[in-house]
Amino acid sequence: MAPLLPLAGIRVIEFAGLAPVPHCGMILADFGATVIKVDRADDQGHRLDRMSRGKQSVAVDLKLKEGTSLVRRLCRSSDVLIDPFRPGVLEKLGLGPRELLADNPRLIYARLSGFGQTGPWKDMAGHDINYVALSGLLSTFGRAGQKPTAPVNLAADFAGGGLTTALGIVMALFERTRSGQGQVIDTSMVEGAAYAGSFIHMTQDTPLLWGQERGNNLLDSGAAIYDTYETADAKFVAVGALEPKFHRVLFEKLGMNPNASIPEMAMNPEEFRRELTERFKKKTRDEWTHIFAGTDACVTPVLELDEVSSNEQNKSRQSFITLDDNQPFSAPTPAPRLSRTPAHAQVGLYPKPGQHSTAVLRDFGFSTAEIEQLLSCGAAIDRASSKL
Amino acid sequence: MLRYKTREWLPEFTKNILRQIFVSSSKSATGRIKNQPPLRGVRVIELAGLAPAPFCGLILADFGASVTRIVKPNEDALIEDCLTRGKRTIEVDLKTQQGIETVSNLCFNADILIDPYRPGVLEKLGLGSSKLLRNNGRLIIARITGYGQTGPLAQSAGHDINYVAMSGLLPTISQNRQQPFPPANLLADFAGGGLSAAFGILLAIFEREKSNKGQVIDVSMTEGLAYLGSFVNLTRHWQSFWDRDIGVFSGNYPVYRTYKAADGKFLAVGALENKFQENLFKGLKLPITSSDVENRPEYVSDLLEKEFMQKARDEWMEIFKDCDACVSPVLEMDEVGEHHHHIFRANFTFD
Repeated sequence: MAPLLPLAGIRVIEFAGLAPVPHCGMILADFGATVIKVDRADDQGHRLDRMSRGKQSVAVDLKLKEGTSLVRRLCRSSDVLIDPFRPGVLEKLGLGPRELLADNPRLIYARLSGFGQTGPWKDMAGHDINYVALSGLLSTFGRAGQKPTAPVNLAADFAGGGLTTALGIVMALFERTRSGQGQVIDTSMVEGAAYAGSFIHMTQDTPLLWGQERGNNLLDSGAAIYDTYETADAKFVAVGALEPKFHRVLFEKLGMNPNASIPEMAMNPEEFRRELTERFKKKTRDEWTHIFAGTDACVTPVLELDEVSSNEQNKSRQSFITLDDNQPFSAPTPAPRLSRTPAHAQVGLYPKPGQHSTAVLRDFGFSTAEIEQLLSCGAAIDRASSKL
Repeated sequence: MLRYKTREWLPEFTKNILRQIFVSSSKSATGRIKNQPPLRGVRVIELAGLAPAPFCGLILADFGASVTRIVKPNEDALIEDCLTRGKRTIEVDLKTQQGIETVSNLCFNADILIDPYRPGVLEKLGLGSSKLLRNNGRLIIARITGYGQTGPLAQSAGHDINYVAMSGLLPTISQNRQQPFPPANLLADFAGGGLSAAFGILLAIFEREKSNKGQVIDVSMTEGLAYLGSFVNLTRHWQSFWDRDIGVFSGNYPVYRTYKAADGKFLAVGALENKFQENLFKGLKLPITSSDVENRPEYVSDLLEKEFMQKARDEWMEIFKDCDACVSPVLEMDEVGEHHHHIFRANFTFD
């Protein structure tokens, strides 16, 4: 018998929201949870929600009392709720933690916001760039002389938001096996990003690592042996040869003096950089990849998203799931890999908003009469049969 | 010979990013212990390594696990491991039979082992995962590497920059066409590495409650990061977001980028929605609108660059503090402790 997925049997109610919340729900769904997305009544599904794989969708009009009671009843027999709204929004709808935890003391009420549930900025609008800015980390990202650059929305939305909340939820699920109780989780994306960057924060006083202006340090593009280089075909390789034993191999393969040391490099940084730049321009990226494969030179190709799945390492591990579609498509495989109870990403199965309204209500014990009533007053919308 | 080096350290829950607000004061009928850290009583053996493994151990320690960190004697690391709070450290010489037996015994009684070594190293030491799991079927072994336990690169050295390069995300996230670069070593080492490993461990320890069995977790930092960037990968054909010249995340989109102020500090503007843009332009006292953002973005960028240079960063924050314009200061690392929002939430403490 195949082992169950780690989160099999766990029911999650996910309110539709931006990036971080769908990402959190996607992770939980990939690892086996039953994730029910509460979509807005007016969402026609014109833009495919690519984070909704494996989820079910209920469309609810939260402006109607019947709509909020419907959701309240779903939460009564669920394990997790994911709240993407600004602090106080769910309270106003009568769906705050006080009510829902009174109904169901085992509920894990996860609140994911930019600045957190408390504090002078809790009601402010913001996006990933704002949260990374407040974490202190943004000031360390970017080349010398250029403006600070956030790594699209990875640091706060996904690392500090989605993944951190998923971690908190599973921690609370584990804790619940001992206490029998749920709790409220307050994820602030500012804090989540800062926490993920604990090392960067805590090594600020380490002269080897930080202390210079942005872009002039060891790990932020200030060092020639830790940077990317352009190749003959205008692509790039990444060089991460921090330790002497690694850059020795690098220099050897490049035809440079293998015994050059860090102090020597520090004496003539421009010279070193120029040498590496010139040498890398002599061959194409894939030629370099071949030369450095299997060595400890810490050189890898800088891959584009359209080519990741054909790289031999990624291909060998099937790190990217490909479908036999008419269009090239690849989805990153869920990580990390659990040996006995691996994830199962239902790639390609995206629900339309409201596609499962009737089915979900039935699963949660609503009678046929109740379901008809909810559909007729517009509190729930079922789009299972509609053609979109 | 073993030498114990314990470090008395009270976990600083002010650094805890999860607030545990216990709503109900009603007593549990069974009188079970409540309000304890989630991982209390969980025993972790962390084999000392770089960045991702210690960060994973730190997360587990912060949430209440008992983490024993094993270091090699006379190890002269290039930099001191700063991610050791809440952990106990012991020296073990893995080149001796005694050392191996010590670790083996510790694993017999532990819940989690964090392995930072290249694939096969533990096996060569006689501490392979199959052996450890035979002795302790409930053990969860997290093996953290850059490329994973298998594949042609499994034995190759690498660092964060290499794993980000292999994930496919580097050109998109760098916003620098001339020479891409990742954000320090945040993404692969910590987000795709340590944090992902901690998540996998929690999944396994939760699953173990039902099955009473442990397992091995293969944490590839490349895959952890790629998975974290699922949204970027799955929507990569959305030009409005990802176009390298003028997409929202290109670094050039006038209302989603950083701007330099008069004092050389920076502001972050994230005003994606029209209503926030209106407030932004009002605060800047500029006669432009959202349609200018659409129709002549370069002009708007130039205008904003010039205008932001007219005042110091904190003067701007006074203007924007009470209006929803999605403007925030790009705080320097030595300022985070003093920002009023952080003080309120007790987010940063000093070591």
